[in-house]
Amino acid sequence: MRHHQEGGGGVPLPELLVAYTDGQLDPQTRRHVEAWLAKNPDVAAEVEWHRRLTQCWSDTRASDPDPSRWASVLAGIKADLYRPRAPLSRWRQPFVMLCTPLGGIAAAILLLVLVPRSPQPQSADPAPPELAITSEEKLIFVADGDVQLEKVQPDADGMVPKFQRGSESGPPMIVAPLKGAGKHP
Amino acid sequence: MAVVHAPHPPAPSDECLLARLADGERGVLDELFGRYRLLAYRVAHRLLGNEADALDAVQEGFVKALTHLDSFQGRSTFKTWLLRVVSNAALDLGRQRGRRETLSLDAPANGERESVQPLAYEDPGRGLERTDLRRLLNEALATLPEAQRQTFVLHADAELSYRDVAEALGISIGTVMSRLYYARQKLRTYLAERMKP
Repeated sequence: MRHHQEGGGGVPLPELLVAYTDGQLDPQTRRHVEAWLAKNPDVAAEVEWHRRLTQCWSDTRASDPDPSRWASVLAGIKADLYRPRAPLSRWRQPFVMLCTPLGGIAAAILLLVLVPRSPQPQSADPAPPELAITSEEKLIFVADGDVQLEKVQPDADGMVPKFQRGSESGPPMIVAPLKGAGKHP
Repeated sequence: MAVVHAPHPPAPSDECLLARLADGERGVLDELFGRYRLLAYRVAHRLLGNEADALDAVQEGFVKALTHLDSFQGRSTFKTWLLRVVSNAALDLGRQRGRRETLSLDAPANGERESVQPLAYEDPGRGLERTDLRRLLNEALATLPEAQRQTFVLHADAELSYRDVAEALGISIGTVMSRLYYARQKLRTYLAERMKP
């Protein structure tokens, strides 16, 4: 590994010293670091500490497990890798063979029902202008069963006023200016 | 009469074994397992601190590595790929189970071969018995950020070169060097604080 990472004045970066103790430097870089260390013996203690840590680490590796443990692990690996799939029971096979095409037909019917058809050509009657929403504010759309629709008269600005029943607040309402509600008639 | 010994045939490469495994030759699994089980175990044991969890991680790692060979795709050696998967499995297991206290669960069991000879190191071992020293080093390791911990173990326990570690983790050699440097600095600080006279 070629690394000529140096700080100021040709001082090897600390990472390089660790790589040196790990024996991971290419010959040229290693000679460079050794030459520098020879001129800076005060750093030798740190290098020696790293070597001893490496030695301690090696000496404290876990012992090899018992052979029976290895056999158990290998058996577990094989069991996981080669777990057989349970074959279909005899009574389920024709059921599956029958249901598969029926399921496909049902899915096709659902798609036809749920997917909206392409928009029809514009009719001669446009939507009533008084119901067209022109506001850019966010609208909350809810299902019919979630709200109670009540008729209220818009105010002077064409906005539907907030509605409350006594102490209880009413259901959420769609509040939006009505098109053409600029001037009070 | 001179005795001529037939030269041992070279061991098949990992790629050859994997190809034979893919062809359905299940017997090669024993060979692959035998080649790397110890390295995988050392990595897992260092990260988890006890034999039972380490063996679970080894098993899970081998299964994952062999079932996701398409992810491997030969971008690294099978060895580095496997050890990465095992180390990830060990880290996941450690998070799930909570890294057990090595003091209480890493004691030598009956029949477990343990050498308890004192080691005369001035620093960092300082005459600690091997079991105690291992426990102390594992505790120190547990204080490292996960990335540094994994990098350090792949190098120090799996004996991967800097280049192999970089390949296994998908990082640059410079990043490997940086992580190992800071890991050692943290280990040194931790050990120095706990070994004060």
